Amino acid sequence: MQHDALAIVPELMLIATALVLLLIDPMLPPEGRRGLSWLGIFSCITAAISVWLSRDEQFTTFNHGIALDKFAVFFMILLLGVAGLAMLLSEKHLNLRRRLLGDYYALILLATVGMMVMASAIDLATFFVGLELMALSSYLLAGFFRYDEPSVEAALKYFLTGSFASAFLLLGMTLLYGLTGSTNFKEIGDAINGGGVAGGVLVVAIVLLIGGFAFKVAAAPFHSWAPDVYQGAPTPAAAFLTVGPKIAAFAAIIKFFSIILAGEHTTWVPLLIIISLATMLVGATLALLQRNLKRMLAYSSIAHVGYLLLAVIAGGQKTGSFGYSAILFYLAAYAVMNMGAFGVLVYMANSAKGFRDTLDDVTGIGRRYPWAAGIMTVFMLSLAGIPPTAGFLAKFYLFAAVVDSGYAWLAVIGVLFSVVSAYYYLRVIVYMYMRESEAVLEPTGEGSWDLNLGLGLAVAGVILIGILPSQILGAAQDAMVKLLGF
Amino acid sequence: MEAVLWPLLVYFAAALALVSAILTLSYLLGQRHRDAETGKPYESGIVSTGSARVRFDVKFYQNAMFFVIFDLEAVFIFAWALAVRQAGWTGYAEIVIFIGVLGSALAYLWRQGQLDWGPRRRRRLAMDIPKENDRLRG
Repeated sequence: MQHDALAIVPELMLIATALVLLLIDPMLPPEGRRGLSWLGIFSCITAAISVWLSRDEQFTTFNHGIALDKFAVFFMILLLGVAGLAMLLSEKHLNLRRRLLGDYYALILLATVGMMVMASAIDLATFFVGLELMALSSYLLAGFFRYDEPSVEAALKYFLTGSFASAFLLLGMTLLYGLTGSTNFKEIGDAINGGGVAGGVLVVAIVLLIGGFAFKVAAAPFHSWAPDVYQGAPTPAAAFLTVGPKIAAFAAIIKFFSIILAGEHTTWVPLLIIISLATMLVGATLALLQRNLKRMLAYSSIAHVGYLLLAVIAGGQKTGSFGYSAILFYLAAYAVMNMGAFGVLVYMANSAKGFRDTLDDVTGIGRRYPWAAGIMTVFMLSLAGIPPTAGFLAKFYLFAAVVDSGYAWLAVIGVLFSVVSAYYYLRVIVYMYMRESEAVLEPTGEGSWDLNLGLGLAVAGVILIGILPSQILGAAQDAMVKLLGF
Repeated sequence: MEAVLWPLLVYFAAALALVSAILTLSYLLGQRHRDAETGKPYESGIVSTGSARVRFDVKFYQNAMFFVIFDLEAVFIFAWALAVRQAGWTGYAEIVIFIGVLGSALAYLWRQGQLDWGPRRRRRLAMDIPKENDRLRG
């Protein structure tokens, strides 16, 4: 029993901090709330340290509901970093919109706890509780500017589609339980591999699970909510929502497909091929048409999900390939570069009056905001996959894994879409540096060193992962070896 | 053991036949009225007033929701109370944490002014004003 509680100390810390944030927030005067983000960031750092200290542990607890292993540790530290970065990006933006409330940070922390549970769960029920905790907190974050109509609309759309996705997942999981009589990932996997499971129903369960996950990660044809939600949500919240839930969902996808459904890959690989091709097509082509940068980044994140699904195919097709570990590495790179790109939009929204996230608004900012434009350039190059940034290596490992698994033609198509996507990333750089705008946005003079620190960390992450990938790549491979070995 | 189900079916058929017989007979033999008063709801002989389409304050909904939430959480405390000795000090520590979380939720609601029944006080959301919308459209 004591052992159980020790295993979730990081989660307990975050929950306790969230409660404290909710309780002390109403007692503080408005100017006193500026330190609240640091309470949240501090709890993330402490939790990450305590996760790090248990990195060599390998055990299951809570009646085989949670497995603490290298896989969980990798995802937990990544998620805690994402949460901390999101809080760094948020403070000034919320303050300027007069929505600086402890609730916001509490929601980020609770969503992070849900994601951490998703990454460490090895039981369907535990997994679903984590999923719902993450999802409910995310809906509220999307609608945090509750007097701003797009934000409320985003929250409603996110809530409705997200509930559908949860229902699909739940039904799929129910069928798995009905077929095998167990909620434990390993036991279900053994039962399915052992045969004697009704094939037709299993296919229905797989289709439902894939549909649910496709909704959650915004893969075509279930992607249509993503652009509206990411555009309407407060920009720092959108930075968190484009990254955090996707990381957690991919952790779950890896676990479902590598532990439960590994023996059934002939069923789900063709389905995923169709979905990933459609996703890359939708993401890469529709992003070309967007003039709103948040919307463009939303479609770009859809395209990135398409690449990630290719790696799931690679991991499932060839046992022992590095498809899954390529996903882990890609997620780490994607987290820093995507949050950084949103962070620059937050910076511009804070410092320029009437900034509306469109291409016209960033026209010519290369001269007036050299730092912001320079940092944006790094993120755009990384998202496009140009060396020496993190995005290049991430794509390199990912496509190498796809080729290695025998799907060279898929990798070729992926690279072609990646070339198409370079157009809309580089277009931002062209607008920033090579065009002049007639209408100059008036500066507000509102700076924030939290935000600057967050952007600096993101740039450092993009470049460090791009130059010295071996640490993270090694951790990713280690994580997968341990996950599939036990 | 093979359960004998046919009496149940007969009973079900008999109930269905009785109800449809009563309804059919009253439809065929009964009187018909088509007055102004016919469609009005019967409320113990009291004449109804006003429109039914009244907008209720959202507070009714909120209070009902708070009640349901806290009422439901009490179920867990009852379950613990039944097994208090078996659960021991570990169980005690866990229920203290559980009640602590509930208490902080209650305190949060209280400080937010959600428990006030009078005109809304909005202490904490003083900075959170609808004008923000105009400013954002700026």
